[in-house]
Amino acid sequence: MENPLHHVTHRNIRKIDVFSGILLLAFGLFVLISGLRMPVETLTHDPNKWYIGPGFFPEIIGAGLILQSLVLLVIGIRESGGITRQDILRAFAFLKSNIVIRFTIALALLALYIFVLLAFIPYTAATFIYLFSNMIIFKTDNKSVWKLLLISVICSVVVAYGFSHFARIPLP
Amino acid sequence: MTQIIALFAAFIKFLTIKNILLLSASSIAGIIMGALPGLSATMGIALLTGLTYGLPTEAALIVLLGIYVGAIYGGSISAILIGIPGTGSAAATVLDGHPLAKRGQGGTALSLTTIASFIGTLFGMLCLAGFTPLLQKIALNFTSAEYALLAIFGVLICGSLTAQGLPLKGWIGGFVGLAASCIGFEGIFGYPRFTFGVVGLMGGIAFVPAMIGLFGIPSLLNGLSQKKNNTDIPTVGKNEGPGIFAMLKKYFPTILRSGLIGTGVGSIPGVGEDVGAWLSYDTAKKSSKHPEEFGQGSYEGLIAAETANNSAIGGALIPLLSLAIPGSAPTAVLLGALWLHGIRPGPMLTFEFPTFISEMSALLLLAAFTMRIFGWIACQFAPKIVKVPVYILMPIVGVLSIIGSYALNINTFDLYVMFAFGIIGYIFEKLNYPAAPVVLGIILGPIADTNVRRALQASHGSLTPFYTRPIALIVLFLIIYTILSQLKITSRFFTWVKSKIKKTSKANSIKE
Repeated sequence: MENPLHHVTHRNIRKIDVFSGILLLAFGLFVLISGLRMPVETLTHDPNKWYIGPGFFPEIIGAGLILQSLVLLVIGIRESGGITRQDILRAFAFLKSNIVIRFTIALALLALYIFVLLAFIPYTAATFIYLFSNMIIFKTDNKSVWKLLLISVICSVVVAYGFSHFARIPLP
Repeated sequence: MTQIIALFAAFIKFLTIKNILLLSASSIAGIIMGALPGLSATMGIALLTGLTYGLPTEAALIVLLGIYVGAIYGGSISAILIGIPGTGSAAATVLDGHPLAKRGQGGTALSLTTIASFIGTLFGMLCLAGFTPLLQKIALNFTSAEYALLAIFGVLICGSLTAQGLPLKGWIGGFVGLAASCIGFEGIFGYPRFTFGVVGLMGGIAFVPAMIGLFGIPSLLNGLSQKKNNTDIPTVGKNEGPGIFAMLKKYFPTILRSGLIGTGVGSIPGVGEDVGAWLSYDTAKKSSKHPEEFGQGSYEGLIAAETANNSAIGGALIPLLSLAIPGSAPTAVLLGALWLHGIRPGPMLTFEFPTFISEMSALLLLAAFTMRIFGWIACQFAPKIVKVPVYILMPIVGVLSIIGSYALNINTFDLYVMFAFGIIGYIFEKLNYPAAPVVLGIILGPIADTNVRRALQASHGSLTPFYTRPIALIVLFLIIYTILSQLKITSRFFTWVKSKIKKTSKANSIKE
């Protein structure tokens, strides 16, 4: 699939890397500190057996993430040429772009399906609502609404009946 | 000799009408999944792993292998007809396949890829049958130190080879996966790590929902967020390409080299078919007598890419069965499927299930034949398959992703895991962080964690086993090489050494 950031130059990718480096550094610190807070060894509580405690591996991973994100930050800062006010304005403009709006709607519909529809209404109905709403909103050709309604109904019934009765898999 | 007899016996065992029908259905499903951009072999196996739980082990393996082989081949159909690879492994196929289709030679291109995929799968199968028992014998000598180092090497090499641009991003992805693997009760003391009191996290992150999230949800979000109308699809046209024997005769060096590259790359943990295809294509172009034809519709380029990506299937199964370390993303899911059915890959596999490797090889052989037969039939209907609009296909992918994530443990929490990893996968994709190392980190994390601690416990905190045991030393060297080879300072150092050697030899020749 085409990356909508494909037109973004190498410099701009590095600017974004600065932000991702900061986030990863924070994540690495969190993992390292959490590991240090875990007991050294839980059976005999022997501090000399630091290497078999539950925190040992998270400490290694946290330290590794910190090191790598620092390197990424250095590369990002060196090759990005600095972050200007125009970069920030361009980033805000991108957030208002068509791609981001469509992405947000697609994500929201998926979240609605998982967290709300499946939790409160029967599976077939929830699936039909999810399918039909996606097809209507993201339609790119001139297929009629009735056709999409029919496709949504057929797909949801086939999936629900097929998996629950033939494959005997409980549905969410 | 015994292996050949075992392979033949397994082949005969599976040659029943029921198995052939099951394999045919799964091959067709795999080809369709592979042909549709946005779906992939990994998705197909991930979605069906939970669904095959109710089937007997034999039937489940038939379905999963059929989907795997079919999907890796199926990616070439959309790569040729619409210039979009159906799977990552078919990306190299676009370069020469699509130009052929635009010239009205789509039928020829599809025939070439069908035959090349068939030959590649056979090659991989032979390597699987031949090398897996050897590697298992070596793996019997592995201790915790070797397993720990191998797990770390797997994550690092996967990160290096799958990252576009900075290999550092691949390693970061791997470490994020390793961090995710720490969630839940840890393997030695049962201490809860990173659970935050949430019951759903105490069992750890189930890797099938995580994998579906990392690979499937970004495809769904990308497909819907980019407003794309269906492109015009050229007709398939007549097949004017060489038959299988003519192809073997004319392109034998390319086929042999591609088979070796594909199997070799496939056997590297977590790397898989797409890297195999690119490496083979690149090597074929550099060694070709007509490199200028590559990218314009070269038969040799097509054959190189497709032979390699299918031979990588057998290659990826080698470390899976011998070491329980998956060679590719689809085999990572296959590992979960094998565990689900009570089969534990690794050095002890031959003792617990003596005929398993022969049976897998025989299934791969059968899958190659069904792919060959149904592949050509599928090509005739291919323009209809790839015409399914993205806005209809992707929501259906979303529905199947939900079922695939839920069916494994019948646990609603897995849906939340899938959703969370879907967002992570989407962000990673946009920032050029590969998803495969994350998955491998989740799978290999527990292996690395428990084995590092066990090795240190056995040596009372000493690091000696990690660099004194021969196999551990080799793997340690590979880890150091993987890291150093990607650093600019290393390449600068070697450039300096080379220039020094040149100056010295020049000075010596002047003196003489």
